[in-house]
Amino acid sequence: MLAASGIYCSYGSADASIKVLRGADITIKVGEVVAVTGPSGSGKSTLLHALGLLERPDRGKVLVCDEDGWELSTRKRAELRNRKIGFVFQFHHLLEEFTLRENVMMPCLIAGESSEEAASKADRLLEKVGIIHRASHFPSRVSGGEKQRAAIARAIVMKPDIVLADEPTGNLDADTSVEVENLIMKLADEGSRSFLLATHSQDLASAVHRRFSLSSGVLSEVL
Amino acid sequence: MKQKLLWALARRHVWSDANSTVVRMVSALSITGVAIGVAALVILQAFMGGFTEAIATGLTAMNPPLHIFVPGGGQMDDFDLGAVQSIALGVPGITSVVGVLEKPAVVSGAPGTVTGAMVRGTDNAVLTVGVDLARELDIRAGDEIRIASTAGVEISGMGRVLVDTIVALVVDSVRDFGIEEYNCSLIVLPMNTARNIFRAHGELTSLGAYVSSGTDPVMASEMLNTALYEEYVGGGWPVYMSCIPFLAFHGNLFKALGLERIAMTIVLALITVVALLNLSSALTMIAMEHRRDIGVMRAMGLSPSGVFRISIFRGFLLGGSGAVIGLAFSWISIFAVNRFFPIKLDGSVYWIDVLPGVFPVTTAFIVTLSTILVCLAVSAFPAFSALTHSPSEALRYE
Ligand SMILES: Nc1ncnc2c1ncn2[C@@H]1O[C@H](COP(=O)(O)OP(=O)(O)OP(=O)(O)O)[C@@H](O)[C@H]1O
Ligand SMILES: [Mg+2]
Repeated sequence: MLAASGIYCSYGSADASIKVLRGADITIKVGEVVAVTGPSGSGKSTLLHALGLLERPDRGKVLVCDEDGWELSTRKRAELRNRKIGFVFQFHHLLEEFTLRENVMMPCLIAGESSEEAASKADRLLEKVGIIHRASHFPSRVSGGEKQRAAIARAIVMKPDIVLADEPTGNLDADTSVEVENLIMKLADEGSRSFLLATHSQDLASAVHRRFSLSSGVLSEVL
Repeated sequence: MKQKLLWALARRHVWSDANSTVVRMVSALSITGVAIGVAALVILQAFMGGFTEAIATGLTAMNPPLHIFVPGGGQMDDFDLGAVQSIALGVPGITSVVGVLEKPAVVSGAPGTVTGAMVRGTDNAVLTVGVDLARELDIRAGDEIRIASTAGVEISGMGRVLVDTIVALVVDSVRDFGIEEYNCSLIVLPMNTARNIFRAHGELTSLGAYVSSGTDPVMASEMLNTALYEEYVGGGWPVYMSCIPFLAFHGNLFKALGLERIAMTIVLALITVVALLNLSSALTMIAMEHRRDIGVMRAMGLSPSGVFRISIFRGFLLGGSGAVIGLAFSWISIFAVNRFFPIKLDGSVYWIDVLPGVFPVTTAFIVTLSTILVCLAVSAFPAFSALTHSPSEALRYE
């Protein structure tokens, strides 16, 4: 489903560069839920951005559904992100000028679907994550938990094969975190979709199928 | 569909209830700036153009478009008219050539009124008096006026003597000639009557030629002038006739008006340039505000070209609405000024007594088009800079 090998990432110029990842390998199978833990600054976001085809790694290969994401043209890569990958960010990152429904519709609209089609899909998902009553509200008018639920709905609306979530509960209070974690696990249990969660949360990390830990640029599986 | 999405994004980025007040204010200010620039240019052109046009129309309404005369002020007569008529036959676009006899005279109307006037005799004319002159003489159509000239010369046994002629005539109509100078001094009447008044047998002061509609008077005048030159000077005559377009008499006036118009256009174009600079900083700010949103859109699969187009569309929306508002505003103000608040001028100075605004369609089109083009150009900068960031950078941007 998602397979990455030999990922090297660094920031800065050649002489003063910070090597964040030094040869990370990871394979996630269909329906698998995987967590990556690590201290702040260890490179979790960097890893997710490389796997999500958002930031080109210095070296390494990222296979998304057997396609080498970084070998594709920019347009094809954008299409691959649209269809196969969903993102959830630490800060919901909803578009402030659009209602929750419109936010959830956005990936479908980018894919070129009609707005009726997109709206009905969005409503179904908002229903599923339990915030359909907030569908026509703007993000600034709803609570943090509701925003994150909308962001999760947006991440899965295109039925992606893999969802990359970067500290999805990192910015929520304890109770809301638990709700959102439960929601993610519920969605994960549906089967065909894989999840890669970068998280500090022990609860979330312990609920997943496999765990990796990231330190000093090395990714190792916690057995 | 995709295009519609990009427009929706651009539109909400520049104007949405959910925007911060700062963004909305910046958008509103830049739209206002562009609107003011466009309106200023269009309104200026409307009134400068309206003034020039009113004068030109007034002058051409009362005078044939081509003026044929003897350089140095020599006399002409019916024989010359016949000669010029046959020469003009060979010039395409000229429909007819007429004789004009125009001389000053003294006129009196209602008892106790008397004033100087310019009397112009042409064929097929009826006795028409300028409105201001009629008011001064206190007469209406149907009233009688008396025209006296001292221009008649008779040779009697005592030698040459000047003879007064006084002719009483009934006014056929009183007319607004459009030009103040004509309104307060011109009397048009049939050629025979004029010759009677001035005791001029066969004499003419100038000739006028008419051109068919669609013929450029300047071109026709050049061709007739060449034909006249060939005929007379080519034929060995020392004196020949010249032809100029009537408006060329006032060439200096039109040149001065044109120069003034260019100068003012440049000044007002600078306003528009400042407005567009303001627009470009507004666009940059809006782009900064939405950097993260663009990162999110990229993560969801928006292509770089989509990002680029959103930026361009933002510029188009701000500049385009500014231009449209400016156009609407200028149209309304021109209409309102003409209709409700006419600008009064001193007719004795400016020839016309109301300054008309004529909506300048071509100028408005050019101004709008170039404003929008420049808007697109200034939005290209934020558009390219949006492309240089990787989606990941934009996402880290808090
Ligand atoms: N644009 C950048 N330029 C330079 N260094 C960067 C940049 N982005 C990240 N880094 C550095 O790379 C390292 C990894 O960052 P990253 O954001 O991937 O860590 P993280 O594990 O996600 O941390 P957190 O848990 O705080 O989100 C950090 O040391 C960070 O300072
Ligand atoms: Mg992070």
